[in-house]
Amino acid sequence: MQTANNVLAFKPRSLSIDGSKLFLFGISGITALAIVGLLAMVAWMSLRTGVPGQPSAYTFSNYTTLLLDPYSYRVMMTTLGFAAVTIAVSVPLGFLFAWFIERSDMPYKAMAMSLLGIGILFPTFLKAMGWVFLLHPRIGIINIFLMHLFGLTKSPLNIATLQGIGFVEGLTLTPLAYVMISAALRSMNPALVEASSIHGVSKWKTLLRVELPLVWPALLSAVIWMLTVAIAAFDVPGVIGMANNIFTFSTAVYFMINPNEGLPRYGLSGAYGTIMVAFSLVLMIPYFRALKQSHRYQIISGKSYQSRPIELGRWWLLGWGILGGYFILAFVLPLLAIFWVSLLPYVQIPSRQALALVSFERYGAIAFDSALLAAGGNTLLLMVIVPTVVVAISTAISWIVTRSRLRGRIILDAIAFLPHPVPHLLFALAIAYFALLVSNIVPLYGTIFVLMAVYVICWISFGTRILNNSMIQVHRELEEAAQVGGVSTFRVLWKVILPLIRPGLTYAWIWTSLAAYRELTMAVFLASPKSQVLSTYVWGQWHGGGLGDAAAIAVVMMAVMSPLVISFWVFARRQQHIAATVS
Amino acid sequence: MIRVHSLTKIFKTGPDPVRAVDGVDLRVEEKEFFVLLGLSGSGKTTLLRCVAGLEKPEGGDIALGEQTVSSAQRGIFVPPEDRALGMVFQSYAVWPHMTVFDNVAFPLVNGRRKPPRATIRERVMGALELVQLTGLADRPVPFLSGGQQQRVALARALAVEPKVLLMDEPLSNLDARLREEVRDEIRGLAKKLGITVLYVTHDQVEAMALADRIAVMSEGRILQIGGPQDLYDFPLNKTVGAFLGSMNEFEGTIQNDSHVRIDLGVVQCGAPNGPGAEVVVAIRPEDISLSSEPSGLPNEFSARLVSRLFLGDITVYHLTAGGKTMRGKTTTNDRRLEAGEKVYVRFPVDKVKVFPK
Repeated sequence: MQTANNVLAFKPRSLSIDGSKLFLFGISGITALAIVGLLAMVAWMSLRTGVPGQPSAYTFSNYTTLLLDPYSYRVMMTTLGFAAVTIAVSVPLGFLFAWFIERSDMPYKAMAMSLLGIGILFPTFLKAMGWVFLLHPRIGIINIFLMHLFGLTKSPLNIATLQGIGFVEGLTLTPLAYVMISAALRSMNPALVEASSIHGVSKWKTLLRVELPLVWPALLSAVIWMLTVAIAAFDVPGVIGMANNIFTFSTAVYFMINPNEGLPRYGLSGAYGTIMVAFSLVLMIPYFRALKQSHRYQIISGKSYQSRPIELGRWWLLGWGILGGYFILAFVLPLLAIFWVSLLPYVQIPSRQALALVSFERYGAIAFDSALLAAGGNTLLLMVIVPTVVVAISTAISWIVTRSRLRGRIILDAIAFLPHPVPHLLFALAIAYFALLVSNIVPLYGTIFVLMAVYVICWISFGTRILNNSMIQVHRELEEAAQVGGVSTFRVLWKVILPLIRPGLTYAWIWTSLAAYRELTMAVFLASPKSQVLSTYVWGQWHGGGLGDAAAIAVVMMAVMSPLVISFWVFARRQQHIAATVS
Repeated sequence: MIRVHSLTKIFKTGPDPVRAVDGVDLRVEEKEFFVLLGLSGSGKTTLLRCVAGLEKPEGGDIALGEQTVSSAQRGIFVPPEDRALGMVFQSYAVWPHMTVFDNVAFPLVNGRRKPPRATIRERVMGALELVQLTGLADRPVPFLSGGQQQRVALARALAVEPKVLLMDEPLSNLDARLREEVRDEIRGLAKKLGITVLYVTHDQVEAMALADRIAVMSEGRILQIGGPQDLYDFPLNKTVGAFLGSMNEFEGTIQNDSHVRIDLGVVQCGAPNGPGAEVVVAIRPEDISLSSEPSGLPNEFSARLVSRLFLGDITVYHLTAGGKTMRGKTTTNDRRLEAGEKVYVRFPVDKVKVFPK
């Protein structure tokens, strides 16, 4: 209760610099410096030769090596081909699902959305492993089955090809394409379409001349975004492609740092990295242009209502057929394959003999694997600390971006966004280089703290996207009312804003925690024997030939993750964060 | 021109199905300007969208001219593109990827009722001239102001030369001054071109300024249909009366066929029910006459003037009498009436409304 005495005791604040503001600016500034610094580090290392710490003259030799080596062009063509297949699979499927869910009267839409949302939350590299078990030319279950069935001498299908990895990546990115396209369909003013049909234009012409031109910018921005994601993708090319000598940019960079023989080639990987950074940033120009164009076509005012959904009649079976087929391909089959393999001493197709060999022996064995338990402990540590730090820093940055009148706040926002388009593995590469540089002063290299740092830096972009959105919705006057009452900035943030945006904070925390659980790309660049996490442990088993053990751990990882994912999904749906879930 | 018979539209979005339109009967005559008036959620827009073919009704029939375009019982549903209508949307819905000219020409070039190609340019320019936009024909629509986009939408709807023009709160996104101007233009155009208009609004002033007849809607049903003045002066019930303008309301009991007892005393008026029935007596503020001296006419009561508010074109009086507060309104500002003084209020017999309670 506010008493008269309290009011009288009120003193005007001093005009000196507000300590709490200084704190917020401080941590935001340090984070922004780290992001820019790491990207600069990639460029810097590309101009040097030798191992980190070694004296080296500045040189363009890495770039000349890159440009003169035909291998570079092969990698580039592979990457573009891989991206093309990925887009060709994910965008049409995403558009179909978006159309069925947003525009038609297909039944059980909520379930369809859940299937699409939950599927993508599970680790991509595990699904990639499943596809190897299904379609590998030698051990693939489906291949062996088909060979038996038709008496073939050669396996008919091969996942370890450019088309194969593009297909798997496309399947895993379909939900993301769906989310981007359905957001565009949903935000388009339905009256624009109705206005066409009511003035006598047929459905087909309306679709072609009105609806498609209006959705086109959003479709284009989805395609560009898929391109950046495919270029950055590591899981699928790493699990399926690398062992079969199919290298994309990301796996090529990994291979330079972890060669089978010889010294790591940091300088050359820096040159590759610089090109990747430049490429992904250049792509942002058409991306934002298309996005801006599509925003212009969105509903601006007036009541929002849904247009009458298109009646499918019996065609709803087709919609669910495609969706169900997709879910089985993208999710059920690879997981079943992993489970099946984990129960057997070696990979074989389901048969009566195989069934006799089924046992849970591996699961018993991994329970006593101390290295695995240590990896699990590290993963758990990351799952708690990383989201906490990400949410704290993102709060500071989002507050400055949405609330303060600081002149550079747009730049701060842009910097915080950078890790979104720039491949995460480059941040990992740069921080590895940095840790090696300073290893004589601070023995950071190979510790779990390096992983922690790079996870935080990369997921700031996600945290700030969510929290910017939440904070904009808190009316500025709510904050000003407290300020006028003489409350300090920090207390306003703590007592007024944070409680109001709690759903956003919770959402960002859980998402980041799940991301820390499933992250492979950054971890394989940085984990040393003493800082293994679950994903790198599986990766190590996989490439060490322990496919069965890798499969068993994968099954355990899924089992542990399932309740987390489902509760997260329920929460996200309630908070209407579905759109951001998979991006 | 438009005949709607026991129309029902049900939405099943939530846990309970909502009867957005609940057994509506309606007849709009040729060349009539007909307004659907109601609060948001009253079902007026849904009714309009059913006529447009943008919603498919669960029950009842709709006919445009001689043609039945929708009949749930007979399984008839003509899609919107075949109903030969024009429509202006609340959000204008002008296509942002086209110029002004292309927006108006698009239905003519691509529609079901194509005019000869050679005449299209003429028709588009004619429509643009009607809404005074000839100079902006080549401008992309995102570069227009809200009022101009509104005119493009109107020109587009007129260019197809529709039998019926549908308008869904077309003025609600314009600012107040512009709204009045466009409102008068719309009425003028409709009358000049002789088209039938079905118009939806929640603004009773707009409805009265535009309509030949108004249907007042609430909870999916039509409460009353009539000309603006009929509805204003002779509302069938309290809801319609209060919706068209403010009223002073008094609870009372009928004494005989021409007198009702209220707190102030006995009011002489037409009493519909038998003696003893509970009723509400209502009078609009501008119908109350005020004076400092008694006139000796019937229905005169003494009251106390609480405040006098001069608003320019009108003056508003707050009064208390018999423990009740009421409002009076005059176009003249009588400076002799001072706040706190005793005044005489009179309810002219023909202006007193009596409603069932």
